[in-house]
Amino acid sequence: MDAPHLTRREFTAALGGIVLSFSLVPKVVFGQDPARLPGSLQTNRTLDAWLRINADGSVTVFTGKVELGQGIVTALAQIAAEELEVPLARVTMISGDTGRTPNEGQTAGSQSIEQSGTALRMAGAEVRALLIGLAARKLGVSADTLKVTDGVIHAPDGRKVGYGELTAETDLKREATAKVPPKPAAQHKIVGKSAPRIDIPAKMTGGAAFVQDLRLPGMVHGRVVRPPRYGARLDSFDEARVKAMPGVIAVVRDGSFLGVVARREEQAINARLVLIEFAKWSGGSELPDPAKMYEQLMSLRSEDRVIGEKDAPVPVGAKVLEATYHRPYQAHAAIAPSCAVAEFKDGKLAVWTHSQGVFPLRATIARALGLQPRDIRCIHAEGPGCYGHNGADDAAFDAAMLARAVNGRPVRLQWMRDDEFKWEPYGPAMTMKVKGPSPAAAWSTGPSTSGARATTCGRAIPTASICSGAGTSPMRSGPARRAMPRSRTVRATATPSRSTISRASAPRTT
Amino acid sequence: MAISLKVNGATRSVDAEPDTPLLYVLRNDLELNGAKYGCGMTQCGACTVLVNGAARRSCVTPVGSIEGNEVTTLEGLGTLDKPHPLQKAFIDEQAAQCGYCASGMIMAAADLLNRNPQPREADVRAALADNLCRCGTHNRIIRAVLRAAQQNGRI
Repeated sequence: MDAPHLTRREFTAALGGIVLSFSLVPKVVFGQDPARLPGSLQTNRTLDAWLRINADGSVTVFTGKVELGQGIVTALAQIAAEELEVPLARVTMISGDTGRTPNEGQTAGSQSIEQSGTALRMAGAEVRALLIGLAARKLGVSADTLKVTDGVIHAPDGRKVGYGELTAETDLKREATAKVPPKPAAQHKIVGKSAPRIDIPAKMTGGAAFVQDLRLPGMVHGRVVRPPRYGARLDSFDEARVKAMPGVIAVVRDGSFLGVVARREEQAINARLVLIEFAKWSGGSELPDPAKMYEQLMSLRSEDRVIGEKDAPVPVGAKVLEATYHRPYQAHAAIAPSCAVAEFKDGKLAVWTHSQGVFPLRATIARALGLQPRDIRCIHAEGPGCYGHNGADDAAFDAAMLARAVNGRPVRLQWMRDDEFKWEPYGPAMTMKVKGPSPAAAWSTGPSTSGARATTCGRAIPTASICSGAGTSPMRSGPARRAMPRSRTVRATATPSRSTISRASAPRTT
Repeated sequence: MAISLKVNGATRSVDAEPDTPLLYVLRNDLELNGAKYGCGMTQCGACTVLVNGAARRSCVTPVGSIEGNEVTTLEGLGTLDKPHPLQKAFIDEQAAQCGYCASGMIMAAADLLNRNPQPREADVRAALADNLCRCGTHNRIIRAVLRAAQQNGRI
C-alpha cells in the first residue's frame, strides 16, 4: 500500500505502524449471488478485513465504526474478545481508516453494534473455530475435545497451543461463511459487563487522545474565513497585508474559500482576523425570520410517501386530540471546535479527521478536489462529542484545501469557536402535527418534518457550496438534511389512519 | 522573544511573542496536550491550568504575564502509571463521554481541593459551574471529585 503512511496509531499509541493489506472486495464467483452475510460482513466479507491474530497471541481488530465518546470502540473490543476467547487487554483496536479498516459508512443512528458488532461477533466465532481446527490437526486430536482459555487451546491430555503459534497456518484472507454459531449469551464472560473504556485513561492524563493533539513533523497551522452569510461571494480581500504578517506562509483563495497558513498557531489566528477585517462579500441569503420559520418550513415543496396505513375507526365516544410540535434549527455545539490535520505530498493526500465516516468523507474530498479516492487516505482521530453531527467533515475538507496549497507540509486546521457555531451543520428544524383519539385506538400524524436518518453520503460541504449560493435551505443543516429543510413529512388522515413520508424536492445545496 | 516559564516543575524557555496566549505555548511549544482549546474567550474552561496553584484560563493569559510563576497542567498532576487522585477518580468513575472537557474539569477541581480539601457536593458544583461539558457527564464528574477528595483525605 503506497497511501500516506502515517497512521493514527503511530501518534497515539507508539505502537509503530502495522501495515496490513486485505481485500475489501470479496471474491465473488461470476454469476453466483453471494450469500447474505450478517451485519457489516455483508459489505466487508473477508475475515482478515476484521481480525488479525498476531504472533504474540494478541489480536488486532479492525472496525469502520469510530469513537465519538459513545464508547463503541471498547464495546466492539469486548465483542471480539468474547468470541475469540482472549482477554480484553490483548485486543488492539484499529478504527475508521480508509487505508486499513472495513468501510462501514457513517458511525451514526445507533447502528454500530448492530452492524460492526454483528460482523465482529460472527467473524470472531469463525476465526476461533478455524484456530481450533488448526490446533486439532497439529495435536492430532478431534476439534470437539479442545477448549480455549485466554487465547490458548487446551487438549484433554494437557497439551496446549497458543493462538500466536498458529499464525503461520492461519489464512484469514477468505470470505466469511457466518456458519459458526457465536457463543450463547449464557457463556459470555466479557460481553454484558461494564468494561472500563479504553480511551479514557489517556484523556485524563494528557495523552494524545484527540485529533487536536496530533503533531506531525514540520506541521504548520491553518485557519479559514467563512462568509458572513450563507451563499455570500468573496469579492476582495487584502492579500498583501496578510502575506506581510509574521509567520504567514500562504493565503489560500479558491472561489469564496479563504484561508491562511502560518508557522505558529497564534500567527494563523491573527492573520485570520485581518483577513476577516478586509474581506468584502456580496450576496447570500438572509436567515429565516424566527417568528415565521415554521410557516416557511411547511411552505417548502415536498414529496409525499405513505409509510403506513391502519384502518382503525375512532372509538365511539373517544375524544380526538390534536397537537403541533416544533423544534428550531439547533447547533450541536460540540465543546471543541472542529479540527483536522492534512498532508498533501507527492500527489497523495492524508487527512486525520474526527469525521463520523472516513470513507464517505474520502469520496467527497476526491470529488471536490478532483483526486482519485485511492490517492486519499482519511484516518479517524477522536474529536469532541458530536451529538448527531458537527463540523468535522468540513474542517477535514478545509485542511485538505490548505494542505494542497502548501504541498508537503502537514497543516493543522482548527476552526475557531465562531466557525463552529456559524458553520456546523445544524440539526434541522421540524414541525410535527399529531392527531388521534384518546384513549388511543390508532395514531395519526399530520405533516411533519424531521431529521432523516443519517445517510452514507459524504458530509463535507465542498467549498463550491459556499461559493455558489446556499440553495433553498434557509439554514445549513445536517448531512442528509441540509438539502431538505423539510426532509421528511408524515401525513395521515384520522380514519383510516394513513401515514405518508414526503421527501422535499428542494435541490441539494452542494 | 525568549520567555522563561516554569511548567510542571521544570524551567522551559520558549520563543514566542509575550502576548501569545499561554494555551498555544503549552500545546505547541511544550507539546502538552492537557489544556484544550474550546472557545478562546474564558467561557468553557477546557483550557484551565493552575498558575501558582490557582485555576487560570490559559486561552486568554498572555504568556509574557506569567514569567516566573509556576504553571501546572494536567500532565503535571500525574501520569498514566502514577495518576493523581483526581485523575484516578475520573478514570474510576469513567467520568467522560468524549472527554474533551476533562482536563479543564480536573484542573478546576484541583484548584478547589487546594482551597478546600473536603468539599461538599454543593462546593464541587459551584467550583465547576463555569466549566462546560456538552456531553452531560456532570454527575460522574462530581462523583469523581468527591471520590478524589476522600482519597486525598486518606493519603
